[in-house]
Amino acid sequence: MNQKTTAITVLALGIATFGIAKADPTRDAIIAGFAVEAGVPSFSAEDGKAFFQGNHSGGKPETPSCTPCHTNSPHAAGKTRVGKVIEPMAVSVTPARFTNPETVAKWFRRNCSSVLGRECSALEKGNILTYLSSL
Amino acid sequence: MEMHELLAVGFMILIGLHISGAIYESRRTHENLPRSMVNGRKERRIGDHEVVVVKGHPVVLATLAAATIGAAIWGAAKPAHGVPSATLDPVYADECSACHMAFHPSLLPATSWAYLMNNLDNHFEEDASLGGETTAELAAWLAANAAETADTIPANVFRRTTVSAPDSITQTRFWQRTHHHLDDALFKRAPIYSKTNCAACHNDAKTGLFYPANISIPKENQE
Repeated sequence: MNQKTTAITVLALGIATFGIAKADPTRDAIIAGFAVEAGVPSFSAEDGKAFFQGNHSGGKPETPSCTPCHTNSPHAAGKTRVGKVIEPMAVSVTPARFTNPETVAKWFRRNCSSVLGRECSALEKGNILTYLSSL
Repeated sequence: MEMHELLAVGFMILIGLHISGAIYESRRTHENLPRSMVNGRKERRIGDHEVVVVKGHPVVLATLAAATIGAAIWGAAKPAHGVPSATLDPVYADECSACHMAFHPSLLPATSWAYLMNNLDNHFEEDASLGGETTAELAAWLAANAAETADTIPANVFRRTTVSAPDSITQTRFWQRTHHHLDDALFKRAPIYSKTNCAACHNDAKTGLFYPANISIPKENQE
C-alpha cells in the first residue's frame, strides 16, 4: 500500500466514523423504554421524519411543527423564539443528544404541548428518537 | 466620535498642556516645580511672608493616622456595598440558558421570582416547566439573591415591576423609557434577535450591574 492509498483509506474511515451516529447505551435504553410503553417491537425512522417535519394542529399557531425552531434539517442548528442557538438534533452532529432520560422527558413534555397541544405518545416519541439517531 | 471618546481625547490634550506648563515654568523661574509637589517645600523669595511653622500635637497626629489606616483596612475587608456578588447557580444557568440569557437574580424582586417560578408551564407563553425538585431549589436560590439583596441601578428600579406582569422586565416603565429611542428592528436583527437578550448590548449583563458605560450595540455582521 503506497502512501497515497493509506491517506485515502484513513480519510475515508474518518468520514465514515464521523458520519455514523455512535450508539449509546442510555439512548438505546430510552428508546427501548418507549418500545415497551408503546407495545411495539421497533420504531420507524420514516414515521419519525414525517412527524418531525409535518404540520400539526392543536398547539400554538406559531409552532405547528418542530421545524420553526429546529429547522427542516436536523443536521443544522436551530433557534429558540428569542434567537438562542439550539444545537443540531441529529445524533451524528450532536452526540450527547438523548443520553439523559430526564432531559428527553422534559423537552417532549414542553414541545409536544407547544406543537400539538397534548402529550406525545410513546410511539411518536420512539419514532422521533429513532429518526434523529439514524441520521 | 462618541462623547466619551471626545472627552478622553480632550483630557489627554489638557494633560499634555499641564506637563508642558510645569516644565516651561520651571525653566523660566529656575525653580524645580515638580520637586515642590513631592517634598512640599518652595524656595524663599524676596517679599515672601514670614514662615510660621505649625506643628501638630503628636497624639492628635497618631490618632488621625491610626483612624485613616483602620478605615482603609476595614473598607477593603468588606465587600463593596450593594454590588451583587452571586455567581449564577450552575443548574439555574443551564436550565434558563437553554432558551434565553440567564438573567441575574438581582434583576427582579423575590415576589416576581416566586410568581415566575410558579408559572413556568406558561412562561411568556412557553411551556418551560421543570421537575418539582429543581423548581423548588431554583426558586429558593432566586429568592435568596433577588433584587432586595443588591443596590445596583436595575435592582433598585426593577424592584417595582408592573403589577399586571410581575415577571416582565421589558414591560416596566423604566425599561421602556430607557429603551424608547431604540428602533424595534434593532431588537430583531442579528445578533440581538430579542429584547430579552440584554447581554447582546450590556457587556456586564451577566453580573447584574448594567453599568451605563458598558453598553455597546453589536454590529450586524458580528455573529
